[in-house]
Amino acid sequence: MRPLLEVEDLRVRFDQLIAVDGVSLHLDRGETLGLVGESGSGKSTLGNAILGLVPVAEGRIRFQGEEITHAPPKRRRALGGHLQIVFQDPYGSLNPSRTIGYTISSPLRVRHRLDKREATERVTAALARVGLAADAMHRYPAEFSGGQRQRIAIARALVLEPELVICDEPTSALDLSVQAQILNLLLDLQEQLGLSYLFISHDIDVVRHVSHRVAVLRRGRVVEQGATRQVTEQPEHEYTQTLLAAVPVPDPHEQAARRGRRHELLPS
Amino acid sequence: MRPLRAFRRPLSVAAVAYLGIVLVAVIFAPLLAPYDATDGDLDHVLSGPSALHPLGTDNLGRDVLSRLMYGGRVSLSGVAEAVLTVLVLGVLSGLLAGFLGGWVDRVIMWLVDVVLAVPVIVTLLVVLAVVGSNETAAMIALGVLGSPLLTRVVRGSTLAVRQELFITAARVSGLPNRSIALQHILPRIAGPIIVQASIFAGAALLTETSLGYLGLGTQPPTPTWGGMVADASTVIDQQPWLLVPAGVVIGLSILSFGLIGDALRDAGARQAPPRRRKVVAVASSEAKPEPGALLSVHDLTVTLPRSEVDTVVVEGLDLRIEPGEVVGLVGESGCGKSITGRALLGLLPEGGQVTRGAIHFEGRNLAGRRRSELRGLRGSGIALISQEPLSCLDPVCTVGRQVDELVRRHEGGNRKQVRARTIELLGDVNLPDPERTVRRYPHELSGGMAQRVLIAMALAGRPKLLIADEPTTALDVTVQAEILELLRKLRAETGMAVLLISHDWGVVADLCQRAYVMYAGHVVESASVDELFDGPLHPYTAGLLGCAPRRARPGRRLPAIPGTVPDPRTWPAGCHFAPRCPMATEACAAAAIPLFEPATGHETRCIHHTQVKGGENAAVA
Amino acid sequence: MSRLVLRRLAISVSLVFAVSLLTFLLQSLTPGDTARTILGTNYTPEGYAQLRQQLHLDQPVLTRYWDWLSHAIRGDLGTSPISGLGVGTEIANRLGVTLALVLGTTVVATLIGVALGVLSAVRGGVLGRAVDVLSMVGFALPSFWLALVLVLLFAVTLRVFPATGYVPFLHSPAGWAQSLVLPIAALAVHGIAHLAKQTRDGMLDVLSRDFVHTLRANGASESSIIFRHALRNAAIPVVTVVGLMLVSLLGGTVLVEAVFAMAGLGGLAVQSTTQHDLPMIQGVALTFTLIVVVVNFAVDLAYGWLNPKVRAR
Repeated sequence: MRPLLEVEDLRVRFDQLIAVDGVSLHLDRGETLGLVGESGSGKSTLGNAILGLVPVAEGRIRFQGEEITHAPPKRRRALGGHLQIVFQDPYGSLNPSRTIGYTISSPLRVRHRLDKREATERVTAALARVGLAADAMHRYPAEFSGGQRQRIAIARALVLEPELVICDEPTSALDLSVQAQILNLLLDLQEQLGLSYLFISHDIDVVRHVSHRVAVLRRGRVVEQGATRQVTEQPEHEYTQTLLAAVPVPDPHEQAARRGRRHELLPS
Repeated sequence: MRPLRAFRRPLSVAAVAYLGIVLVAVIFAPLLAPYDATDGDLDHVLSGPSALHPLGTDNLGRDVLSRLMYGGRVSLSGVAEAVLTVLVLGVLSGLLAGFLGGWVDRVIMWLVDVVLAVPVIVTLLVVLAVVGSNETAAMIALGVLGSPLLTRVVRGSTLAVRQELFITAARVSGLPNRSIALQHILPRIAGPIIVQASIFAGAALLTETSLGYLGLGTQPPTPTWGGMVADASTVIDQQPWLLVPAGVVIGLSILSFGLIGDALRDAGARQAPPRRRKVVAVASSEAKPEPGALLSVHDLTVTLPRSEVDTVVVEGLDLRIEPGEVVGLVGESGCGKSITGRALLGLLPEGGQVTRGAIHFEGRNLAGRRRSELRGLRGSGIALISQEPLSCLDPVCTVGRQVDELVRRHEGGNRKQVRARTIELLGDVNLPDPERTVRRYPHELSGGMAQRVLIAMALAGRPKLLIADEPTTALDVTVQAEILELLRKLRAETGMAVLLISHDWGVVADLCQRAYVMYAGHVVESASVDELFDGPLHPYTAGLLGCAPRRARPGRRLPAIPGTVPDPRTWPAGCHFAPRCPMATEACAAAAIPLFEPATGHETRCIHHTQVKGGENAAVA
Repeated sequence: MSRLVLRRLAISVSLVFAVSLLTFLLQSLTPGDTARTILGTNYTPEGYAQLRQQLHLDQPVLTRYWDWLSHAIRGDLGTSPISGLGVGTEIANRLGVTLALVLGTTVVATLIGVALGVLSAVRGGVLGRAVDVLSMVGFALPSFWLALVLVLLFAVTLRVFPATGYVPFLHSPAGWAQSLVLPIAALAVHGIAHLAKQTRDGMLDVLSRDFVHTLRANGASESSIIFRHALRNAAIPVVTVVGLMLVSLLGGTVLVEAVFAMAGLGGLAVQSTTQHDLPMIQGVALTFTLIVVVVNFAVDLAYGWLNPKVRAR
């Protein structure tokens, strides 16, 4: 069977800067591909290119076998039903002057021409999926905590019943205990709905926890990709090794040992 | 933006009321005015206020009150014309420039620059000369000349809103551009538009009355407010009173437009900062400094104003740091760890107070002292580095000047000696090429370099304690590792102690010897780092350790803690963690929980501490 | 920086052209013309036509504009057909008054406004609110009205300053200064209000930023934080306001010159527009525009000096 998403030799340029430089990836149904990298690695740009938010200079993006690299605006809007996104900042990603119900239902009403009752049903179902009561619909974003807003953002992505959700640092702005709740929610939803995730993060521990496969990005290029275990336990590329060695482990004994090993790796 | 909030202030209510009254008086002038505006009463010339003429009469014996009411019709309709023109031109051009960008934006902004450079009154004179004394034409011209300011505001807000994530989310959901502009962008920028219109209305009235005063625009005998001032000026030595009515009406109207604009803007922006208060006497505890400790904090309680009520955000905090020790202060946002750090420096946010407790640094109690008394200690006793390194440097000052300043302050010396020490400090923090770095500006630095500069600044006073408030949170992991390494090296070289405030278990495990765990204003547990990670004795510590993905099996659900950290205003009685705790019993909520010390140097604020299971996959949720 | 300067130059040049052309076009639309103004009400059609020819009024607008422009570039602004005076000389005679008013007001307003703003931001409390109220009131008072009140108080009642007139500096420096006190006071209030508020808001904003907290925490002195860091950062928007104020003062002088009967460029502008004295209007508009261009240039240079990010461009 064909992969759900295929990216081939993708390049994205901003003026002089090459943000994504020849990236190839594929993602199957029900799979999570972790994209890990530091700032400036092009990981978010790659997600935006797949969503058609930034123009692609070269290369191909195929979704369900269909080439969507330069899809016209009309086709793009229709793809919104299949490809969705959850952002990092749960405060900026919801319009503060609209109710939750309005925000979640607007694509249903505008694009799918659902009537009010049907739209409300779908919104209620989506909110229930993310563990929120239906009365959240009538409230404004300011009334919710960061974790709850991220649940709402996930509900908005789910209401169109997409196959692929691009998660762009979905837990980076959240506290550790709330991050755990959201990661659990994403894992549960994947199991229940067979979703695929392109999971973008700078946090290797988080990526390792949720991903089946991992791609490591550096300056717009994939330096290493493969099964999560393979990449995080026996990294081949030097950069991946440096990156993994740099992450402090939440265990003082192991961290002390790693520090010793890293000194050998990085004589600084 | 909540427009209604704008009208809680009495002054803005007064402004609205005043404009309302003026508007009614002006609109219904033919019904309400006691006299006709042009009928002179030659028996009562320049009469001053009287029963017959409440505001007096002018040099032709015309009733001033009536003339004011009729004159307002000209002035206010002129303002309306100008404001309308500004709104149409400004909103349209601003939206086009901001939303479309590209060459449209460049052309519009070029026009804006050109029009902004035109002297307004002079241009209006030319227009009036061309069209004769046509008030409407002049006010529309004024609107054209005034619109660039609104164009800028609308363009700026459109650009800002366009970049917000919810706009991107709407696009990903397949909403067409038109819907995005009308449903999402326009409502968001309505606030700044109204504010700008209100401010412009004041300026337009000022200009309209100026033209009236010069005798341009609407011609006599039709009264105008500006014209009435001009009439008054001719008889200034006979009846100075005549200056008052017109001047006051004009002034108050402009003031009201300004007040309304200000009120709307403040309602949309941040709340006014709380008023500064005198330092209250700290209920000074009798606590003696702990012998040997560099810093010992006892029973520290801090309040911050939240919605104008002083709210306790740190409660009964005890903390101890030995010379040269690296101590962690761990917790999630809102637990009070940064506020604790600021309290130690005597730099609480405006309105914040230490209401109880003692802070002994090298045997001296710092609690309750004035900011100025602590000034000598800052930098040389206790120094600080914090989270966003790039925003912690003055953007208009070179790196060298910023470090120089602190070196000069702490060590003195001539310019050359100071600079030499600065370069030495920059070398100490492993900045490559310090001689060149001193000449650079903050925007030319990476985050990691900026944090190194800030560490150099903190080191300038050779402090004995460095408070590092999330020093690596904004940095990439490889840079974080370098900064942690640097801190370790500097501690070894200088022997200074470090209080590391962090939410990251990995960073704490890497750098700290001991750690305090905070939850909702309390220290809930403290121990050596080894004991804390291996055998936590508080369910919150255990739960939070369990939330670290690294300590869990990949792909499995994490043992998350349900709920969120409560707001300080809704802290429960007794144990603050009880509502989220799987082990909570009735006793937990009954009364404040004291600190227990089950093992030497290991304290916990939990009555069930004997039953807490270790951090690894403890079945907390 | 050089890119910014070039951009500014381009705008400046286009501004000078735009304003002069616009003035010309607008004037050509005016009912009535110079010939009619000179002739008054009693004239024959032949005489009228002859005068129009003499004044080149029968030529197409663009031809006349070109004619004017080619002379203006060589520094010849022509002569007024009404008064017979050279436009250049007349403007030079009156420029002193206007410049004294505009520059004097700018200096006074900037010094007082910035000082008040800094004081209120640093001290807060009652003083802060006093500055708030003052700036609100200052905004609202029309300068022509304020000028009249000042005349009433200080010239008519107390007789400390002259009510009207302008004494050239070279005649009597003391008299010059005295003649400027009331007009500048009337003009400066608005600018003081604006600048005090801008400075106060800017200072409060900067003082709440992270870098101020960092400097304080590491032992920088309070005076250095206020003057070396906060004021310098807050100065960037203040400079913008000073520039805008200077431009609007050019208009403001029109009113104050009228109140104090000073023979400045503002009065010349009013007088020549009512008389349809085209060469004179062109000259005045050109002068004003050139002043604006110079001011904007100075503002841009100040930006570059204050903000290293602008300098880098």
